[in-house]
Amino acid sequence: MTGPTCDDVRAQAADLALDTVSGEERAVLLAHLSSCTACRDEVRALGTVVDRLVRVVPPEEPPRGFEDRVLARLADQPQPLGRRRSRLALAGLGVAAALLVVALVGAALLRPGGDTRQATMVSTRGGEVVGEVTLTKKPAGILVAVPGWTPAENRPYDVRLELRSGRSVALGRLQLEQGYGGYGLGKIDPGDVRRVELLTSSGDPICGADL
Amino acid sequence: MVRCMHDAADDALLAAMAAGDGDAAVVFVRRFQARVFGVAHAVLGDRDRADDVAQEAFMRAWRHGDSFDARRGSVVSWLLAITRNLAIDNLRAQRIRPTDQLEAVIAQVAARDPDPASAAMLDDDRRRVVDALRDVPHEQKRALLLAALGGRTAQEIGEIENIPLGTAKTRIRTGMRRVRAALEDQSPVSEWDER
Repeated sequence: MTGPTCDDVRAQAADLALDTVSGEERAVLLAHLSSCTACRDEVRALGTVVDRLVRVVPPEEPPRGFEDRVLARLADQPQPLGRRRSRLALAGLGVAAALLVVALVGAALLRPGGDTRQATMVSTRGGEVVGEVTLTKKPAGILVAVPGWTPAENRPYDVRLELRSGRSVALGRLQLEQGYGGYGLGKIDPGDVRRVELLTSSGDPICGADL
Repeated sequence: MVRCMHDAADDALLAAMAAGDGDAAVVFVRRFQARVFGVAHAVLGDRDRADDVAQEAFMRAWRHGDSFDARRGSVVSWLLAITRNLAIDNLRAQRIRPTDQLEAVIAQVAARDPDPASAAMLDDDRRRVVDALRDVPHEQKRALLLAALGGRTAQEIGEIENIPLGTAKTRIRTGMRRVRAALEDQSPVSEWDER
């Protein structure tokens, strides 16, 4: 079975940007986008149009006390994770996740100015910024950080890498705990990685980051 | 300190809030609460649920503020996109039909000659988007806004408008293409224009 062509995907790019396609259609389209930068850029451009359309909604004063309720909720939260990159891997992590991350990327992440690359992780559906991914060189590994993003906080996801050669590599299954997880890259050179994606068990990308 | 923050650029304010600055959080919430609540209410049509969704939008902004990338767009677009996505998720979970609130927003945007009071409330970027929508045929504009603001699928728009699925898709796609072309013909918008 062959996938859709670029023309097929371009025809449905608006539907994808607006999130008006069915789950099955979405899976087919996203599979194409995962390996086609031009079509991905097209959908991203249309996503920007959608964002601007949302802005036509007139402002409206919220109910009395809204500001106080928001600020009270913010004040009740523990210090959010990832505020300082040098502490990204450790703040608030469960013991198992912290050990895993430290084993993979510890020294590189904890040393300011270490040999790392970071990029914003964006949800495939809707283009929402949900966290970030960090690649480390020594040891070679990735750290996914999507704390607070409900779909991914404590679930396993398959990791797929897109290399600069255009080749896709299924890295393995990543267990996220409190939105954090790490994985070793084995023999893959971190410098060759241009995109990291998390996939559901059915193979649908749920979020990704361009490095 | 809050007074000093009032003049801060949106992205600087977000960064300060994300770093745990309480004064920045106060100013950030005050600056955007009406925009965020407006979008949540337009999509959901229920002030109580819009209140919950709007609060959650600010929580997400606070959690993920340090990963905001200004190269991908402005703070307000990012924040309103978060709000829209949360509201649509909430809406789909409840399977609610289009609300009077959404219909009112669409009617207001669709009006070729908005009343002076409404026109005065438009900031530069909103005016540009409204201008871009002006020459889009009404049925395409309606289908596009039902999808973009209301989170309706093409199938649902077909049912709402009593038109075949293919027609609904065509209206959405053609409307989107026209708006995109119109926006691209306009000059770029700076962060300061958008405030």
